[in-house]
Amino acid sequence: MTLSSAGAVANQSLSVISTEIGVVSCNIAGANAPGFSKKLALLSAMEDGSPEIEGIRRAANLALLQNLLRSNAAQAQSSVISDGLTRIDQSMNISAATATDLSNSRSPAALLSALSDALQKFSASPSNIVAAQEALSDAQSLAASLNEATATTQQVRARADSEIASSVAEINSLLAQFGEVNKRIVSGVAGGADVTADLDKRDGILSDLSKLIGVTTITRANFDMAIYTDSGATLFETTPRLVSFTPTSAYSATTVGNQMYVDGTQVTGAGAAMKIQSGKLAGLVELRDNIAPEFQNQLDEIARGLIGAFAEYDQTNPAAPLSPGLFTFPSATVVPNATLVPGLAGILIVNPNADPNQGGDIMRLRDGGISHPGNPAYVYNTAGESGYSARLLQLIANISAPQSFDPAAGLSAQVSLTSYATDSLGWLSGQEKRFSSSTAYQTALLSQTAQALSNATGVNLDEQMSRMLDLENAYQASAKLLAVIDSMYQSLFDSIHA
Amino acid sequence: MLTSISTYSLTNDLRRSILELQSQLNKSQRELSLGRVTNLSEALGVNVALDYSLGVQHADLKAITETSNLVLSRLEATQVALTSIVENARTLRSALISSQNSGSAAVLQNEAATALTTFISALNTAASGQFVFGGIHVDAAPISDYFASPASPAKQAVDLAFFAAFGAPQSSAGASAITTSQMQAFLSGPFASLFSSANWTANWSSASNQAVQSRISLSETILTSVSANDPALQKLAAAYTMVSDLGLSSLNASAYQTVVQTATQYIDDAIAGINRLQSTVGVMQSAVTNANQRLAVQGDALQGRLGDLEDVDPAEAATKVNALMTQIETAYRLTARISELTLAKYL
Repeated sequence: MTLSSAGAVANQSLSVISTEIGVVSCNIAGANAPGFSKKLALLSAMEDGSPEIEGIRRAANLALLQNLLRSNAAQAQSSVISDGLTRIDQSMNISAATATDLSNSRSPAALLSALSDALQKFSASPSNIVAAQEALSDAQSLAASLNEATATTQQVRARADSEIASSVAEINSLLAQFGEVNKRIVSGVAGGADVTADLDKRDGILSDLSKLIGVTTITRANFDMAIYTDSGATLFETTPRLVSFTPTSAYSATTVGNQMYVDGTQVTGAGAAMKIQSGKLAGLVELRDNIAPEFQNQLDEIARGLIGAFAEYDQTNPAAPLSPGLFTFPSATVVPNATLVPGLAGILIVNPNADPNQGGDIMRLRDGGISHPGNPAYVYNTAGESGYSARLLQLIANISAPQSFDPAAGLSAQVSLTSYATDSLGWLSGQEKRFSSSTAYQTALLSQTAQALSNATGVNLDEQMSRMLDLENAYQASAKLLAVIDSMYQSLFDSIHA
Repeated sequence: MLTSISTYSLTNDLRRSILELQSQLNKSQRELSLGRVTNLSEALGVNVALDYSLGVQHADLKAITETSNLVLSRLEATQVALTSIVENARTLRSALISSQNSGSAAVLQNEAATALTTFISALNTAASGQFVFGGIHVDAAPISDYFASPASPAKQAVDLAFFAAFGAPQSSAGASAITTSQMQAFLSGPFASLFSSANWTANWSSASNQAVQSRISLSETILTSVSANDPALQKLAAAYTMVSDLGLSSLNASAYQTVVQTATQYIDDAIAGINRLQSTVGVMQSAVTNANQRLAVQGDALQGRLGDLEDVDPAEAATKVNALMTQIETAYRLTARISELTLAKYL
């Protein structure tokens, strides 16, 4: 080896070191950016023994990344369901109230209890108009609470629907971005360019995508990546596939929402060939199509049970069908039998015939005849006695007597109205607890997975600093080497001149 | 291979643990101040159904206890009225016994008139907005004033019957001619029929025979009133009317004797009947009181079970708050010190 080749090696090492310093400073800059991965300069020796930068690589861990994608999807799924349930809960103030004092709860169970207690007090003073008004206003609160719970439940469904629409739009835009970045990576790798920043970016997009919909990935030649839903439908392969969904703006109890399609394949709903399992979208569809409708069914059954418990019969003809009494719905003629009437809780009203503000007579609550005002066959207090309490006591008994409910609503079919209303709250709270504890678990798991991934691929500042020190020393040594070679040449030239 | 930790996860971890501790502290502190769980659904899950059914029952018991107290106060008023009726009856009876000769007829007549008025006002007792002797006809005084002006239907009927029997009004000069047997026939015939059930409800009483029904526990409904239409009360009214309004002072001695003796007999019968009424009311009272005691025991048990579900142990909650505060302080110190730990400081 000659002195000039030694100079050339030292020169080369200076350029390698400055590249490496560049990598270190880039790492330091990204140390606190989430999703930033540690970059490494790959060195190799050239034929003459001098070092050469072969390329920049990044620290990656495919297994941990897959875990992160899965955790993202599971966490987003249960958290969106939990949010929806919490909204229903809050509208009735269940969780924040206490059963020891039901006056703060707006749930049908608590208001039904208030109505029963008001009837009890009315039955002890049947001539007292104030007691009657109290019972009537409790009945109105109960009807209003069922109306409101229906409205909230349907709002939760409508909101889930619009969130599905916006999530689908976001997926399409993420897939388009993914396509561009993926294209850069594939062509960059083929051309030998540094693609590490794009790889980080692509992982970031993938992570965002996994929050919306459960995904699996396959990496192919030149870091080309294909994305599939967790059910196997293709989201991206060389080009992005279209995710489509037609939103429905208004929801009632009978509204059936549209389903979502990936690349023309149905991926949500009962008939889906490739049904997605996780991600925010899976949660939203579950909330919109299963959980909220089931609660709505229970509300409708409570409303139907109420109409039944307060129904009046024709006392001259016991075989005649029952007529809706205190609780009814617009244009009702008969009491619905024990099958679900979708949306009944939303249209339940207190019969105007018992409401003095609507031209009714409040004492019909005591005497009967709410269903057919003026028809003596439906009046229970035939003598018109002011102390008649038998009908009121009968109503109280009806509330706590077992009646038939439609098993389609998912609760016991033969219980009292009171039990049915409390069971429904128990069902809701059970779902709430299930999804909130699963959200808590998934969130903890997600942060652990993210930490593990960050530890495996992220930057440690101290490591970079000590690396910097090494490079500084190496740079000094190389510079010193150049100076020595220079001075050796100098003394050589001096001796030639002399 | 060395396991390394990234700077991002190190700082992020510290931040996250502080946030988590703070939210736990907030929850524990709220639990401590409320004395119960802060989030029913999170704490109980499906057991919210049990919690609410206990709560509903508890509220029911409370409502029933309230109404039972109302019922009790009415029964007490009934009992007091009956007692005063019996006392007055006894007083008049002694007066009758000690006035076997007609000398004190006018005094006796006055006494009986007062007794009748007191009797009527006792039967018109009202408690918490209801006339207690009215049966389920609770919003009107059951007995109208006998001595009202214009004359009450009851008095008109008596006057008519007297005139029809003897051809002269009470207290007229002609009344002294009435013989014992005439008087006996009148008293057991036309006069007695004035106090038959049909005439009683027509002339005297607007009370209903149907008793008030009250629900006194989750499963018991009992009758909780006695009616002014009870035969014993009718009989007493007859006795009072006899003495006060048959013109006692104008009768001859033997007719006077007949009236006084019959009245005494009537009062004896009436007192026996009213005693039976009193014991009926007593049975009602004890049924309500017993039910109330059971409700109180049940209520306590329910309260206990609700507490088991909802309450937090204050000592435990306080300890938890203290522990969390220590933990948060430690976390603050650690954050400060760990952020000092960087190689850059030593270069």
